[in-house]
Amino acid sequence: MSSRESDVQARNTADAVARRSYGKLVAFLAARTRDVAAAEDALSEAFASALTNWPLTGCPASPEAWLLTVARRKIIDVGRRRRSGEIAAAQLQVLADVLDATAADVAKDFEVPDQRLALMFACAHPAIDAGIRAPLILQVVLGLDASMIASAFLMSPTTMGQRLVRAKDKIRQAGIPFRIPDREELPGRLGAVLDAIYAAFAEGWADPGGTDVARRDLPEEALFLGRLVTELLPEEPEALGLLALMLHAEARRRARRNTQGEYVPLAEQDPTLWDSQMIDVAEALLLHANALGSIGRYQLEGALQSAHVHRRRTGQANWPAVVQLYDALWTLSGSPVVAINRALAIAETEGTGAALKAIDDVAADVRLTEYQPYWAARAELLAKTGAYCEARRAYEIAIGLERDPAVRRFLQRRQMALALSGLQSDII
Amino acid sequence: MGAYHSSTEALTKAGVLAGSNRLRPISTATTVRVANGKTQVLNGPYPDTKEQLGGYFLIDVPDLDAAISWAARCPGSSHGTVEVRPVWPTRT
Repeated sequence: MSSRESDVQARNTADAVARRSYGKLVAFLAARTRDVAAAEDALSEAFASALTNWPLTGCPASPEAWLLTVARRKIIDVGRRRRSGEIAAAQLQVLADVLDATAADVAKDFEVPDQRLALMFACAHPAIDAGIRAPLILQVVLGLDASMIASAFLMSPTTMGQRLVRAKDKIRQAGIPFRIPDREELPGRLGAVLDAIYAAFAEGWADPGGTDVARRDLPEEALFLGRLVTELLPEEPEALGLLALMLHAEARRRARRNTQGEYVPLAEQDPTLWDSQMIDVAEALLLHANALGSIGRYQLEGALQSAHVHRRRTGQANWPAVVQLYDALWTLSGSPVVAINRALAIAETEGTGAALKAIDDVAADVRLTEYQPYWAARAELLAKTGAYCEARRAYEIAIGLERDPAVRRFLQRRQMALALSGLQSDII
Repeated sequence: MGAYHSSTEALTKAGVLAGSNRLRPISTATTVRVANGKTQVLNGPYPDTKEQLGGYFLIDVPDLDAAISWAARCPGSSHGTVEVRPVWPTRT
């Protein structure tokens, strides 16, 4: 083989291992020391050594074991050099032995023990600031770099970098354990992991056109994490519910914009553009979750999506089911956002008057004054009752609050149409 | 105090208690500061805060979750707040 070819082969192998095992290797290395940053550094140095060594020696039979052995040596070297007492000599020896023993096992079975879920639980620990949990998981489990995560979460790279470093320091210094919580603790803790995954998905969702390179991959990465959690905890209904919810949303991605890139609301989407295979998987997940007999937020939201795509077969969303599900979500969360969606569903089953009353009931909530969908919903309902002037004002506020230009244009079109019908009614 | 007694008892039984002290109220506090080589002694606490440190438990547990579950069992966490902090490791 020419040196060029062996270079290419080494790079391809390293890429494949990174894709397949990055999170596993970080989780494995960090689980013993709780030092995520050191694990990441050691692993990236190990990858660099691989790229210089493999072209000369050939790719090892178990690249993972090779990388683990090299990374382990780096961690121990750094620990020795530091000798700050944080990793005392005795601990270092234990660490070396454990890592050696496992690296040998890995070499034998070609399999790194999967501790990614434990790593995710450490990242989403209640002692970690809620806002940094999703970015932290994306970085340590998937290896995304800080600047990419920063742009996806609309944060400056410096700030994101600092917050990630601080979070990793906290894991190490506060002694946050790498473990899957016990059964009785699990419901509370799993929620934080699922929330972090959903936050990553939602950040990517905000860029439906996929024009923003940094955010384009987020839904895909979130789906990967969602699948991983359900593989590792196959009997957790909320984990299944979250995956179903994300698949349902993802299935409609193509239908959310028309060919001109304009926003298309759910009710006007063409069901033939929905990914029916993905919807079927989501439906099966929801059924399975439901059979486990413990309802929660993500299952309800997944079921809502399911009631909406009912239209795919019947031509009509299942509105009574939608209202019922929002009732359940409202009881569970008391969220004003849920109340608004519930009001819009009520408009379909009981009419505009009942919907406006439902929306008025929550209008006092100050959180809503800066919430675009509240004003858009209000405008929509007011327009239906013929209160054009009030509707126009509500649209104005909604437009002022929206950050996505396509959605802004959509709202402007609605407002414009209103101006026309308002004019007509004035003439008549 | 009965509640504290049983909580301390439990910590001792579990073999995690490394030390604990109740502190007398801050009205008994004296503040010491050395500036320009001079020792200044002031009557009273250093900052006037609403929250006061009433005492501490030094426990030896494997991780934060273990510390949190002990903190939650401490009577202080029901009528006040328990702050959990790691100590700096001592050099060996």
